[in-house]
Amino acid sequence: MKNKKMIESFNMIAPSVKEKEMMLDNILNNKEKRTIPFINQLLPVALSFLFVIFLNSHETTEVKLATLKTGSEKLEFTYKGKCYQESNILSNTDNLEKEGILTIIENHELYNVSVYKNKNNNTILKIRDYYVTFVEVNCLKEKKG
Amino acid sequence: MNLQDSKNEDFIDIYNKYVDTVYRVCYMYYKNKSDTEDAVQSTFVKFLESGKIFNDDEHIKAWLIVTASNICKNSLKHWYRKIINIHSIEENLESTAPHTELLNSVLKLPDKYKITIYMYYYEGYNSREIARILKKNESTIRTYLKIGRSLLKDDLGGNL
Repeated sequence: MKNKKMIESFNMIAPSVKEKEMMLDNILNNKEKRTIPFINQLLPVALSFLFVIFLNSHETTEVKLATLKTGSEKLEFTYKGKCYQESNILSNTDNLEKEGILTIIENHELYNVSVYKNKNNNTILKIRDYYVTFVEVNCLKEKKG
Repeated sequence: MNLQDSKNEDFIDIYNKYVDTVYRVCYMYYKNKSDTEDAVQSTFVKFLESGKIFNDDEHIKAWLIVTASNICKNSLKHWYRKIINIHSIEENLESTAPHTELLNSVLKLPDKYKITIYMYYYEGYNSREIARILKKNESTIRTYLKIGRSLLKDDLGGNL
């Protein structure tokens, strides 16, 4: 049963005409992009990777790939046979040393994050302006968990 | 007019008819405009790509509500979102539309209650229809409504 107060309240949430037009435009363009054959979508992705590797090699940092596991409560990722888990440690972010760039693969999406080490040798990922500390954990334990 | 133009026109009609509904559903999850817009776009792109045959307009509307909810819920589980949610509450507050006290209270409800409250009190679905759309038992929906109302009353200190 409709409620007048509820209707008045929710009516305040609505996109403007301009916002609707912008969204519609994005939707129709997105649909057109997705009709591009898959192989033609691979090429720009491959080129982007090469470009990122090229750029990062000039910055003397490596591009690394890791698959992020998000099913559990804490974020986890595996890289080169080592397992890392999100930690509640509030790490000191002074005097961080940049280790490189990590390209995270999650649900077919890619994200670049900067990887740092602090003086306590914690691994810290930076995304936007936020720092998340990861600790190395026993991979075998995680598989059992 | 070619076939593609005709399909686009049909889609645009549907979009214009339901964009506000989808927007409101997504806004209930994100509480800010930019994420809401992204989710609205994702919902309608999925609609376009689904190729699904719908029985009628009500069927389309129900599908859009459920799809939008699922997109929002899945996105909020994303690790990126987890970090941003913890740290950027101030950013979210800056980009919200003005709210009534009632709306603020609804937005604070857990997802399952606020969607049910929205569909019942704003969209005007009854509990049986909500149950069918959300694929839940009717008794579950009645419980959600009861708890949702109770939480709202506690928060607002009075009747709806």
